Amino acid sequence: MAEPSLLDPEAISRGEALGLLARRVVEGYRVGEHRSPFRGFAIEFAQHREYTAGDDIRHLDWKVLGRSDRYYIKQYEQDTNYVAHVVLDGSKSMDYGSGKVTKLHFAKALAACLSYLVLMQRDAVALALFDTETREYIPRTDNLGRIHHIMNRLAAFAATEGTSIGRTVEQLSHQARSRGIVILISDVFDDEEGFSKALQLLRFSGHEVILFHVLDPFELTFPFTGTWKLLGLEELTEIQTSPADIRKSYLANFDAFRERVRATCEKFNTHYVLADTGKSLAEVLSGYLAFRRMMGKK
Amino acid sequence: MGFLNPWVLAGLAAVSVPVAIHLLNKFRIQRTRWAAMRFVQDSLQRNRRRLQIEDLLLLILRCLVVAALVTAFARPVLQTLVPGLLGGDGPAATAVVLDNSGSMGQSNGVTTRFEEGKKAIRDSLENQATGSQLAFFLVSSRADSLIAQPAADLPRFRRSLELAGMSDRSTDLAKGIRAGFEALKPLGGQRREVVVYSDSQMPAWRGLDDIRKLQLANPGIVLKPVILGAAGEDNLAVVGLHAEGGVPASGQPCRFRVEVANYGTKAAEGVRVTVAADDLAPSDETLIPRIEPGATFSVNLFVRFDAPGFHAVTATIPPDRLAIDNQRSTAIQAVDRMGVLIVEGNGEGPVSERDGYFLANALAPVSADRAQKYFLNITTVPFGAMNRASFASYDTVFLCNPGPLSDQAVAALKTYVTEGGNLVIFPGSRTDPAVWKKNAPLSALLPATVGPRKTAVKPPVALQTEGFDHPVSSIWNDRGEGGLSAAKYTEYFPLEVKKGEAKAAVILRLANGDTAAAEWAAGQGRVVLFNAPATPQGNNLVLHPGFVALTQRLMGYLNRGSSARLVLGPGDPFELPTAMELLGRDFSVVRPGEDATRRPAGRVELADQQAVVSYRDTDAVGAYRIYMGQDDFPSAVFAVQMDPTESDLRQAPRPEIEALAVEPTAKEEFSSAAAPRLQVKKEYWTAFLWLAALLALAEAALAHRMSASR
Repeated sequence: MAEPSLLDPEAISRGEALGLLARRVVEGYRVGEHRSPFRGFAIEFAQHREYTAGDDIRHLDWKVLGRSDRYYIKQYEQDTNYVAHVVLDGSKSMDYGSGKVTKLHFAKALAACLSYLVLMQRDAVALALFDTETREYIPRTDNLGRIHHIMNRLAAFAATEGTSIGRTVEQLSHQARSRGIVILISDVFDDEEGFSKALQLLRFSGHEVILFHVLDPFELTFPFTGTWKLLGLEELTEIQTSPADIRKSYLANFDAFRERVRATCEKFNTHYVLADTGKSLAEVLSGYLAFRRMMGKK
Repeated sequence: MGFLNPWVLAGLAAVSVPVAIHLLNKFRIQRTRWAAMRFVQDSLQRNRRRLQIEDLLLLILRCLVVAALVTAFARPVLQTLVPGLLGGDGPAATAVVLDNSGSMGQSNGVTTRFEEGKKAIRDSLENQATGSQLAFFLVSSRADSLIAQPAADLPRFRRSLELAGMSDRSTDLAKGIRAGFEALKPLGGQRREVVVYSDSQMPAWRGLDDIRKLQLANPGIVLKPVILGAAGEDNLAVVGLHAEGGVPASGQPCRFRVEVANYGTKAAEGVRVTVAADDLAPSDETLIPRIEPGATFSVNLFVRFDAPGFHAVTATIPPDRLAIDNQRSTAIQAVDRMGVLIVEGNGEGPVSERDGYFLANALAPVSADRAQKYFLNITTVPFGAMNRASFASYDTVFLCNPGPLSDQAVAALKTYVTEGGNLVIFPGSRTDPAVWKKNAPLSALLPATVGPRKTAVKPPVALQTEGFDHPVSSIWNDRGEGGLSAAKYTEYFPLEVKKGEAKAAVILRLANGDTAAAEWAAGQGRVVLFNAPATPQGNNLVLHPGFVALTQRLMGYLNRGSSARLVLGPGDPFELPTAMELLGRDFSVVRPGEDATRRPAGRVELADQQAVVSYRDTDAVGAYRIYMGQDDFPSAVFAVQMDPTESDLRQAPRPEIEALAVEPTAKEEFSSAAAPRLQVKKEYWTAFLWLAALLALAEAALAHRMSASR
């Protein structure tokens, strides 16, 4: 069965919009910094092959040309310095947004930006979209031309069910054998133990892990007044309450949750980045990239 | 408990407003999808019970604030049933009877009972139903109608109440109650009440039987006594002040008898009594060592008048709660000289054997050289010369052992007595009772019928020793003043005292009950008849020392007979014949307690061919002085004395008086009236306002604390 979202003009349009957004954000960043914020790994030579029209002449083996007057292209074990695994939580809980932007939309834009940024550096990017299991997986690619494909897939993806980060990461670890960077974009409204095991697995696999904790400003402040009926996005429950009456208790609970997530991240040497959807994407992204560059200098 | 604005209580429905808002908030639900459900669920589970309790508490507080505000605006009050002036919800006709007798001047140290009564009436007016009709009477010894017919004119009633004043009269509540019943009789179809405000002293209810008859005759009219003050008030009072002894004359000490009564419940000790003449310094005083409760103590005090004429004498005791009876005044006319004519049946022979010898010495018990200046100027004439004597120039004529009297002589005597002269007769051997009996004009003039002479009475009959009830002889009721028992009779004329309209009085009796002396008023004068001659023939009275006292007291009594009209009761008119040359002259009066302010009081007018000074405004007790023109000395003085019974402040038994307030059985007669009215005792709206403020404060504090804790 063909995925209707792939042909959905709106999805395509939204994907283009995402691509434009990512380009603007990343280009803006690059113009300012001139250096990649990400560090690659050592280049491993694989074999030569005969030059064919269209190959990038930068990869010509000039020494062979000088000795034999023949055109050979050097091929490497890996095309890029590293692989960035962008893992996007597409559960129903990500479908909440108090304003125009839902957490999922924000997460998609974030994923697109990061993918574009990575591809622009000629590094490879792989994309995994999951809920209770991996729903969409785009194998690694260093071809910038694939960015549109990535955008379209992101745009076409719709939130479906609950969240299971643990299971998803387990599946991902089988596919991403080489070490790289795992960029996990999620609200982590999941089993916290499973989340902890996932981080543990990724770290033991040698990945560098970054968590973009996507949260809506209403989730952070719980500013409702009056009587509200809250309809669960993942669970089928609904709760009628006066949020003002329980605001203090809710915020205490929520802050404790965030603190536990942060503590888990620190435990497994994972960068924790709060992605407040009330802020601009550029602010969130540049903030983290600046932090990362500062860490790299050290 | 009640409410002045009960309709505001409908606002209690506003209590539902907080509930409605609460419910409205509960049901005005907004919906949203929500991701972080488990945090909400967890918070709810932790706080559900606390939230419910706090919500309920806030709701209750808000409801209570509303309820307290509404209750405050409804003006809650404490009310009591008042069986007061206007007892029904419907219009009533009420006759208000206020006691203004002298006893109502009794003070509790702050206010008098009369003022208490006025205040009680003012208070009861507050409960008046619209359209009620009021009549207003003041009652003392008489009923004064200030508003005779019940009228729905409250301002007029209030003004009459403010203008109502005290009197010094005694009390007869029956008169006021009767006036009230008479005023209400014509009114029917509504509640009718006679409300009596009085200190309820015992003498005031002497007409209780009449009052009960009134109630029986008017079953539709309710009588409500309102008793003012407490029972058993102590009171010392001067209840009597009389001139005693002989003729009051200038330059002579005049004896006054002062009676002080103790109406209290404990003995009064060391009571100082003074007498003073004409508002001068006290001329005599004494100290009564002790007066037992309910007892009256008499003392004799002396006053000397410097000049002849009218004088006022006042007796005073120390002040107490009822001021009006702490002094008492009387008036007296002091003479310079009095003319006395003695007509002797036997005027011949030795002086000591004449019929008037002992009498003349008793009347002027002084030596011959002083007799000329003595205030009694005695003239002695034989019986035969009687017709030639001019009686009018004498104040008193004595007939000693008179023989048969001619018609001319009897007519002259009658005229003399009728015009104010005094006639004293001592019958003797020349007197023939049978002839006197036939002489009708003479018999009509005498206070007793003279019977045939009793002779050789054995054993001799003595005079009475006790039970003297005539002012002349009452002094001998006191054994300390001696007695007349040594006076004995072997011969005397039995006297049959006349009874009827002009009742004669017995001055002295014999021990066997026969009359020894009797007197009565004839015209403006008096006639005294003894039963024996004024000689020691057949009796030894003239030899007795008491004979001097008897004659002096008799002279004093006969003289005071004209002075008696100088002492009046409150409200009694004063009338005094005066010289014809004063006819038409204006006179002024100085009333008691008004310093020397002379008020124009009238003009000397002609009445019964006599010039008469007449004055009627005699409500206040004390001495009144009447001046002709700009004269320096009063032309007349008279005194108004309060009824001694008014000083008895002991209250009539309350249950008996309160039992008079019986609701009528014929209730259908005033069906427009309902149950007794409620009177507001205390208002509580401020308390409820404070309560509402406190509750609002508590609600705000609780809400703030809750919002902070959530």
